[in-house]
Amino acid sequence: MLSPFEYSAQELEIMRAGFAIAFLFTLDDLKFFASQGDYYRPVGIARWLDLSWLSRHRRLLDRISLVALMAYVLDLQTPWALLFLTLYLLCQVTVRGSTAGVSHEPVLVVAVAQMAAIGIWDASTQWSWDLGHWVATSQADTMVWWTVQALVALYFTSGLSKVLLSGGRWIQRSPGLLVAAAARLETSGAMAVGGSQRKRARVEGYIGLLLARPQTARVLFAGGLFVELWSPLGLVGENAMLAVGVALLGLHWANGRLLLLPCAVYQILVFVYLVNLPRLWN
Amino acid sequence: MSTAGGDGLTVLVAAVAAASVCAMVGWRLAAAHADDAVAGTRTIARPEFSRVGVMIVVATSAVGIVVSPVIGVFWLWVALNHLLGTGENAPFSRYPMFAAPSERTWALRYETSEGAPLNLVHLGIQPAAARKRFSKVLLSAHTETGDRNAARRQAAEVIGDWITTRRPGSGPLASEPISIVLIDFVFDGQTIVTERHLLTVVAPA
Repeated sequence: MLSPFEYSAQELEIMRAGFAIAFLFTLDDLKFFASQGDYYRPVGIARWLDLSWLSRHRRLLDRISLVALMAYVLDLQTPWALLFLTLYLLCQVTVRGSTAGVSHEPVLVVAVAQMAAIGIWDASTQWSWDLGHWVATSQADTMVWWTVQALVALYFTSGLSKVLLSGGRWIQRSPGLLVAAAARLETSGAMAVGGSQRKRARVEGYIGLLLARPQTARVLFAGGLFVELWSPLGLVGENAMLAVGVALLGLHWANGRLLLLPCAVYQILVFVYLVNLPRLWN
Repeated sequence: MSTAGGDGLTVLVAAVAAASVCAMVGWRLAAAHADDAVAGTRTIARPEFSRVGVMIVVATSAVGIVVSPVIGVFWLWVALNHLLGTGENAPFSRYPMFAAPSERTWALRYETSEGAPLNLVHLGIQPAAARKRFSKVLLSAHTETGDRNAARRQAAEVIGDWITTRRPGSGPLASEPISIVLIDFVFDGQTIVTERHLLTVVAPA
C-alpha cells in the first residue's frame, strides 16, 4: 500500500544538483527585491524581525550561498549547508512577500522539508525516538520522501483553494481567467517575461478562441484543476507519481502559453523530484 | 489501527474524491442557477464557506496524520498551508492565485510621452511591488472617500512619488514625463472591453 519511495545514489545526486539549479534560479529572481531595501507591508517573520540588513549584505550572503550550494551538491556538511540555505531563502522570500506581490517560492518548501527531515532524523538518533512509518530507511531517502510529500501538498492546497475560495464555482467561473490573461498582457511584468509581439498575438489568439467557446474553456480549466486535486494520488507509488509529475508539467506548460507564467522553478522541481526520470533506467 | 496500509489509502482517496465531487457539484449547481462567469456578481466565496472548508481540510488532515503517518508530512503540510497560509507566512501559503476568477479586472500601465509602454524595472521598481502599493492605497482611500476615481488618482500619486525618487539623474528617463494609466478589463458576454483611465502624469523634477 503506502510506503516511502527508495532512491539510488545516482538519483539522489541528480536531485541535489536539480535543487541547486532551482535555488540559483530563485535567488536570481529574488535579487531585485532584496536590493529594494524598503518593504511596505511586513508578512511572515518580517512582522517580528527587521530584515532590512539583507539588502546591505546581499553580495556576501549570495557568495556564501554559492559555497553552501556546492557543499550541498557534493553532500559535504549537508545539514549546515542546508540550514544556511533555508534561513537565507526564508528571509529573502519574506522580504519579497513584504515588498511586492506574495511570493510562493517552491524551493523554500523543498528546503524546509529537507531541513526538517535532517533535524528530526538526527534528533531521533540522539534521543532514540521511534519515528515509525514517518521516515524512510535512510536519512537521504527521508529527505526526498518528505520533499515529495511537501510538493504534492503544495499542488493539492492550490486546488483546494480554488474550490474553497470560489464557493465551489471555480470551474463555472474559470473563463474569467481569460480576462486575467488579457490584463497580464498590459503589465510591464509580462513584458519583462518576454512579451514579444509574436507572443502577444499568440495569447490574444487563445483568448479569442476560448472566449467564443466558454464551455470548452471550462472543460480545459477543469482539467488543470483536477490535475492539482488528484496530485496526492501520486503518493500511492512511483509510477503514479511519474504520471502526476508529467501532468503537472503539462499544466505548467499550458499556463506558460496562456498566462505567460512559465514557473520554471516549479517545473524543475517537479521534473527532478516527481517525474524522476533516472528511476526508469535504474 | 493500520499505519501504512489500506486505511491511509482510503483517507487519501476519499479526500481527493470529496474535493473533486465538490468542484463538479459546484460547477453543475452554478451552471443550473445561471451563475455564469460572464454574468455573475459574486466571485469570492462567503467567508463562512471558506472558514468551514478550512476546518474540514484541517480535520481531515488530522485524521490523515493519525491513520497514515507514512504520508503524515503531506497531511501536516496541507493543514499548515490552510492554517498559516492565509497570512502568507512563508513557506506556507494557500496559493490563492487565480482562485477567484472574475469577469472584470484592472491593470496598471506606465507610458512615455509617446504612449510607448515603460517597464518600471528600468527605474528599479518591480511592477508587482507598485501594484501592491497601489492596491493598498486604493483600498484605504476608497474606504475613506467612497469615490473610486478619486481613490485611484490618490493611489497613482503615491506611485508617482515613488517613481520620482527612483528617476536617474541623467539619461532619457531623467526628463521623460511618465503617465500612469489604469486599464479596466470587462468581459461583456462576447468580448473583453477595455477602458483606459489616465490617472496622473509624473513630470520630471
